Amino acid sequence: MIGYQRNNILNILAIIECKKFEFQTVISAIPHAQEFQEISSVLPQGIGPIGIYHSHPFSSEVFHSHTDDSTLISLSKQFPNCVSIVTNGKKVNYYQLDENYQTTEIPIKFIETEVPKFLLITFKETLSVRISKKVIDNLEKPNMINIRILNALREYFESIWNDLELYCNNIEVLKDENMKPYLRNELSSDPIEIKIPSKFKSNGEIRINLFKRANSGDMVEDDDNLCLKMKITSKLPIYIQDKNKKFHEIDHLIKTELISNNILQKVYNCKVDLNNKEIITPKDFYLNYFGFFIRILSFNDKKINRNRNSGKIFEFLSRLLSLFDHFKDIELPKGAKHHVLVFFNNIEKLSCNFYWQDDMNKKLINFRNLIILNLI
Amino acid sequence: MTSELNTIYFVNKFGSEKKQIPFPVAPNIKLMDVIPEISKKFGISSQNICIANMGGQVLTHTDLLCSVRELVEKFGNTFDIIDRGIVG
Repeated sequence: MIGYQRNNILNILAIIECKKFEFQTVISAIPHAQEFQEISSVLPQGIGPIGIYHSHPFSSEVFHSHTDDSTLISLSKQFPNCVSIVTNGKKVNYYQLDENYQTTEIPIKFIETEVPKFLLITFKETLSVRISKKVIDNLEKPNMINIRILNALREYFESIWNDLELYCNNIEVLKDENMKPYLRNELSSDPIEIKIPSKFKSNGEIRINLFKRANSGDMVEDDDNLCLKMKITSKLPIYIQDKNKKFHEIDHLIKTELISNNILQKVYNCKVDLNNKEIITPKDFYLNYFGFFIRILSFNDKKINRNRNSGKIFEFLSRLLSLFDHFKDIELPKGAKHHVLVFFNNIEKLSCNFYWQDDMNKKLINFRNLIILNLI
Repeated sequence: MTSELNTIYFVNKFGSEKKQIPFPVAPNIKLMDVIPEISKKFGISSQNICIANMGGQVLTHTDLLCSVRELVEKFGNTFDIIDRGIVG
């Protein structure tokens, strides 16, 4: 279950089904960890997995088993108000841990939930990655260059993070400012730009050096280097539940999202073109999923996408779409109907970057015919 | 031993806020040997814990027996930490 917490109350905005399992029988299931990683990575900062649901299909009673209790305790240590929902197909029960760490049934309310506003953060820089040809020659696999760059970039951002500057419409935003005036609900709104101060640049250039290391641990510059240009363009919504917070209070959230959930993933998936001395990073493509934005990484070039995560993205989008199969017989609120249509349109647009565009469009036509026409 | 490898980063994506925790560790230690400590820090039981790299590749038992230095060279210095979430 995907949502957020405000004033100690959970708000569930959407669900994403697990389709892959490491192990699944009629009495127990272990979802595949990779699937959870894929789902949680596309979610924005501030909205995430806040609970789980599953069924006991052959039980006449709905209950929370000892296995479910253990999982709820473990998940609640990571997110204290985690909710666990169990159904037998007819009745649904909702559970949380109480103050004594005992599982307890909780009341719920069905309402059209409000999606919080977000800070729109952008980061646009061109880096100059200097790499020794000897380092390239000694790599076991070509994609290990990506890992070397990833490691170097992580260290670089960790070292300069506290000195980064924020700007909105070219006016500096101070870290003790209240963030309320900067909250947005559209991705096309004026963003807050994160800038690297010029003191961290050399001749206006951000340099990342990947040279050999001497026995002392110091990098040794080689005469035979390649200089690769890497353009990073990131745009990310950081959803905010407490409008009265100041920027420095959510600094760690911005840092986690920008570095770990955006830039490093782009570097991991980048295309290193040694001939053209260029590192091409994928772009953020946002899909409106029940009113909030989830992000898919894709290149604007079908050929590059084909050799990257094309199959994985097709599979992921198909999994999201399969959820709407269950919506055929449900009366959706007006707002949700609108979101479903926007989501389908967004997928159609994203599909233009992939060779499976026609296959996805066929799926979308089927869903529009089967579901949306029934809803309107 | 280089100073570059002394900190690895774990990201927990369960809950509405993703959290990143730096984890200082000697590069020659096996990741398996620090799993109990990582479990305690994140509150995940050792049996339920899973570690994946930035590409979503889940580290296998064999991977966990490698030294931190080898893993950082192969998978990078940043990992997602995942609770398997067994239900029954």
